Amino acid sequence: MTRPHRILTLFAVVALSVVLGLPPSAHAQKPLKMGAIVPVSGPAAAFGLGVQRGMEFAAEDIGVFTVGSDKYKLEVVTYDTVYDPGKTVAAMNRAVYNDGVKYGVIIGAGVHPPILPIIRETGFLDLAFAAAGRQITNGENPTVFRIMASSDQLYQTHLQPIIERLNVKRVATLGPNDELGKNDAKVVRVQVEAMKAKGVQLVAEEYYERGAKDFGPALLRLIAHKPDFIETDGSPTGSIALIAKQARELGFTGYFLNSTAVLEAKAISDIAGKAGDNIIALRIWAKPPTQLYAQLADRHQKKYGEAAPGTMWEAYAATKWVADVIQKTGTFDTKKVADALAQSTYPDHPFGPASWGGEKTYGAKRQIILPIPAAILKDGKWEPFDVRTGKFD
Amino acid sequence: MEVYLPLLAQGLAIGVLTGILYVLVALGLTLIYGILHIVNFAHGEIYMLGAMAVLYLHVVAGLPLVPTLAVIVVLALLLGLAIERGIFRVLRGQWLQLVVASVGISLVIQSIGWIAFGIQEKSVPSYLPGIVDLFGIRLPRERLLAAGVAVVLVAALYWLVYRTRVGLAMRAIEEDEETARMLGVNANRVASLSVALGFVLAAVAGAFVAPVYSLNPGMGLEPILMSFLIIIVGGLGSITGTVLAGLLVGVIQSVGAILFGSEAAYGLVFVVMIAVLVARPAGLLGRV
Repeated sequence: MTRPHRILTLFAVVALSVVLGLPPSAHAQKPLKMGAIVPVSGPAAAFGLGVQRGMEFAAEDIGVFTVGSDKYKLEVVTYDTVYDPGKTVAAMNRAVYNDGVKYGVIIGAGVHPPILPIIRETGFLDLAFAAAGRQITNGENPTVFRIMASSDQLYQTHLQPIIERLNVKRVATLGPNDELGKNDAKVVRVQVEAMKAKGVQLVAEEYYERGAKDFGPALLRLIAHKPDFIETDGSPTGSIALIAKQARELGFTGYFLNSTAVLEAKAISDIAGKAGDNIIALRIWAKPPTQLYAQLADRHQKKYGEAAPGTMWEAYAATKWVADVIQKTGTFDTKKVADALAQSTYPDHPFGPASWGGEKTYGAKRQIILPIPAAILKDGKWEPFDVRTGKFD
Repeated sequence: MEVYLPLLAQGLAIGVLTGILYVLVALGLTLIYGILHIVNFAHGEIYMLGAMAVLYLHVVAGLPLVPTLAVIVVLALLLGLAIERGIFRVLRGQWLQLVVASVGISLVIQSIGWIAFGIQEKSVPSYLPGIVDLFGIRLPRERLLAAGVAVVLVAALYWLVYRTRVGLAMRAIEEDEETARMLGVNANRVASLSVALGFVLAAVAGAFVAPVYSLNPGMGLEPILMSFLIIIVGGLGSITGTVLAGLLVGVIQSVGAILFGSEAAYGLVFVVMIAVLVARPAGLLGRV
């Protein structure tokens, strides 16, 4: 073999070994599909896109991981539900029966009832982004985990302390006329009833069609009861901003409370101006609680040129948490993974250390437990109001 | 709750102002349907584009409001002409294909909107901030401005359709296109003009409703559904009927909410509308 040939052969061998040495990320891994079964169009699209982006960030961060002797890479597949029960069933069927997806994040309390039979039948591991309580996480649905604070948990944690601190006496509620809105009004009713001896009463309850932009008539009816506190349930940013703006136009001067939605301060302030002041929001961190939170916020801003949607954090953490448990259990069997997941804790959640609870209330340890903040809007900026542990049995 | 007169008066005022906003949004739809019998499902997206154009030209780029409106009118005219020439004209007379095409246009614009404008709710600062207090009835100035614009546009449209030669040609096409063509009416030109004007009305409605509500690429959905309801109940193609139906819906929603609660009021609107259609199948002022 001549010298040039030897060099060429050596080069080829080195090149081949480099290629063969790279495979984990280049060609040996199998895809593990996780579904983002969420609305990415229609009025609730912002919630769904937040979940999708959180899961995609998580997939990037997880990279290639090992289950048994095989290498896997997480692949996030999005199925648009338009936040509509019928379309969610179709999306779920496509994900589970056509594409073989066994894990995913599903948004919406209202869209869950028709897909629960599919989840029970197939053992799909549902990371539910749905605030409403017992009907979703319970003993009959062992593979359903709620990855956000539930309404029961939020109100039990924060409502009474807020009412006492602000010396509120007359509470009114205005929420969407869906599963979530009705369920939350019920929880508020119970909490306010418990404060009856302190002179606190629920003076009015109203509902609106999700996606509505005109709240004038409902607000007129509420304001006629002279409330000093309007609880707006999980109304999203655009709705709460319009509710505040239109309520102030009608002369309301009290406080607003928003429970389950994660609101964007600048957007509220842009829409409602000063009228947005004194909105208290649960699940809002006025200051980043962890370094990871700050890093993710920055990463989203750089990639998408806008503030991170409120659903991104929990979706990110849940995706990583489940991948971690799959890796540790060494199986894709969702029932085994669910059992292991329920027993696990996760210190790396962007909000702080997380675990599972809710056994006493829901009959299953499938409710995430994590610190729950409250913030108040002042001059277009969130200011810290309170942080509680979120402990929930 | 004690229902007393000032509350009802406030409810009535809000109902009228809301109803006028509905009319403002529905005008373009009724024009296009009235003349060409095309149900333009993309109307809500043109309304959204009008609102977004105000945001980006007036608020972000700092262009004064009047030139902004002029740009919006020109852009809407061009878009209307292009869509009429490229799609609606080719499919004229084919009802189902036109429905599919306009739904397609609507979805394409909305999808591009989500990519171009992002997912966060946006807003346009009020052109006329503050409240007018009229004997205890609180009226937001920005809604009064939008209502004023609606009144001017209704008058202008009425004048165009019923007092000009172009309007005569439009009505002739609507009545009997073949005969109108034989009498020398350039049907294609009239069709182009009608669609372009319909687009302009939708975009201008978006521009004036923008400060009242919040903006996102899906914002056209609710107004379009309400607009369909209004133009059907008003009588397809009738400008006066559209105005009456818009006011009726606004007032029923508002006063009904005060008397029976908002959820019941929502149902009440449809009960009244069904009753109107049973009594007058062609709508309030529609021709059978």
